[in-house]
Amino acid sequence: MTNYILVPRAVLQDAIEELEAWSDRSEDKATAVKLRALLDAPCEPVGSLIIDKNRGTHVTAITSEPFDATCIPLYAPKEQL
Amino acid sequence: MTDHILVHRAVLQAAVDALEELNGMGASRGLYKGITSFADLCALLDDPCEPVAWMVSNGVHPCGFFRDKRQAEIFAADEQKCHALSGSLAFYHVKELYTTNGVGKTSNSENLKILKELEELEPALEALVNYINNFSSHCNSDEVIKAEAALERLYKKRKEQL
Repeated sequence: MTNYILVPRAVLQDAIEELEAWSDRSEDKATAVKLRALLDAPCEPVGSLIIDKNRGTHVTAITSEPFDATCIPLYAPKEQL
Repeated sequence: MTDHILVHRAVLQAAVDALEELNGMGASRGLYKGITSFADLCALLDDPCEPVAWMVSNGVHPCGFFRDKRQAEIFAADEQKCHALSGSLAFYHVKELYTTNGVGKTSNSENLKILKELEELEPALEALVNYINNFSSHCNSDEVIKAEAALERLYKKRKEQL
């Protein structure tokens, strides 16, 4: 089971706003603070997967080059950087 | 600005639990309606993305990218050994890399399957070529050439898929 989950920004934004607006519990506020910190300073991609679209999701290469629209960004957990 | 945020499972689980509780409390008070993307969050927790690659870094500087964790660990250990001998303060370590769910997730198992098929096909192809070379005078040459070409095409196709 993986320890990290890649969450779409909009989904996370919604969750944080709801927690901040509706919960009075300190532990929920703490969770919202942690998530807000990630949202405000997310980890940037460290590399890219180059996918051969003719072969579904077949990965043809991994590169540290800046990614563009044809590549899939790779993220490393921030805690480890 | 990135479209996706990498979140630790425990933190996300805490957020989901809190939202679930809010939903229960809000429903009884008629206040909290819940977020529309709550189901997306639950789905992500149930089916999280697995690491698709591994990066070897020296400190914070990326040095190499690998599809295979073991290869990354070997590379990091070798580099660390070389630098340690020279007395440098290098710190090579392996980090898992994530990408959006579904991408590259099944490629490793698919590749292994193709590799196994190739390994099985290779001796058969070699045996057939040897047979043809030794006994071609007794065979219908057109059919033999066609069969050989078909096998070679299949072999090349599989190899290209890797």
